[in-house]
Amino acid sequence: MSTALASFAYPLGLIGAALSISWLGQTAAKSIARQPEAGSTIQTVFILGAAFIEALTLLAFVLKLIG
Amino acid sequence: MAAETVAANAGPLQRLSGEVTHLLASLDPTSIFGNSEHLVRIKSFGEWTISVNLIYFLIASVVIIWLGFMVAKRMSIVPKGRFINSAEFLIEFVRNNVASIVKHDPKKYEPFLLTAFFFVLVNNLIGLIPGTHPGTGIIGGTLALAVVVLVYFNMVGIKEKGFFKYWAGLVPHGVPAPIAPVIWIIEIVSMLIRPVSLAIRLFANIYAGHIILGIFALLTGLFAEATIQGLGAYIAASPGWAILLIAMYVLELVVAFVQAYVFSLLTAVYIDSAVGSH
Repeated sequence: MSTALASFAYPLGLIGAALSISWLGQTAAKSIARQPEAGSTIQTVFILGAAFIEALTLLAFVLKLIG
Repeated sequence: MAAETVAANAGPLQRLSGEVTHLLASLDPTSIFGNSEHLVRIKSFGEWTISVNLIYFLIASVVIIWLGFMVAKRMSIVPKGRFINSAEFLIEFVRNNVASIVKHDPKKYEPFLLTAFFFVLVNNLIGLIPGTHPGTGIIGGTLALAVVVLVYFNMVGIKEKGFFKYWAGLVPHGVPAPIAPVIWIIEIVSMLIRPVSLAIRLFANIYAGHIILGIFALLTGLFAEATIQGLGAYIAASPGWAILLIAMYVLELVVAFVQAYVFSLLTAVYIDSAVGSH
């Protein structure tokens, strides 16, 4: 039972990451629509933010695979 | 392997567990051939083992040096041909989007940022050739790159600001004197976390992608084999698995480029925060 429950660890952590990155994407799209000339700066900020959040999610995935 | 001979006539789903252990054995970094019966172990020196990923790391280094010579041979005012144009596209991309993060004299740091980008990119792409184990797909490889980045941005900051001013300047302006030592310790810890997070991000992306590709290829192979053997029930599923495999491969191609971009982008951010503003 506990090993079956342990397989819920990764998807539960994934919820937070998916919500955060979608929120970030929404804000990025809205701000590019408001001010297209700042487009490339906003794109950089979006990719940077998504990379940080993705790192946490993938850390959970790899830790689950290893141990 | 009695279990395998008994299950050889069973459908693909029943043979899955045997094949998964085969796949996991092939991911063992100390073996060259993944098949556990014909295991060729790379030499271990006591506690330390050279992994097969290190060999591909070295192969990637040789490929990058060779590519560099090929690009330098064809330098001209007007680039002609697909290879030199794509190389110039990537170099311009890194120059405009990554090196421009550093506000103060970006030209000085372009060589390092370009090297970081292309090294990570070529290593990731070599990992997409079937049967290879990419150098960035093991925590040792990415940790080595991240430690180089750590040493580099500290050296750059010390050279730019002077030894004592750099370490003293870690604490931002306007912090009152009593809590400044605590803030300084927190900044040092956050600086030490940076290479760890760089390493784990790159490693997890490439390693997880490798495993996913392996599993999808496994399932595609099993279903295709069942279809060839004439078990009609699996015909419907096998093109689905093949399409999924191709989709995951495209995703891994995108991830290779994006992870190289993110690695060099974060390096530029760290250089910018180290060189800072006067």
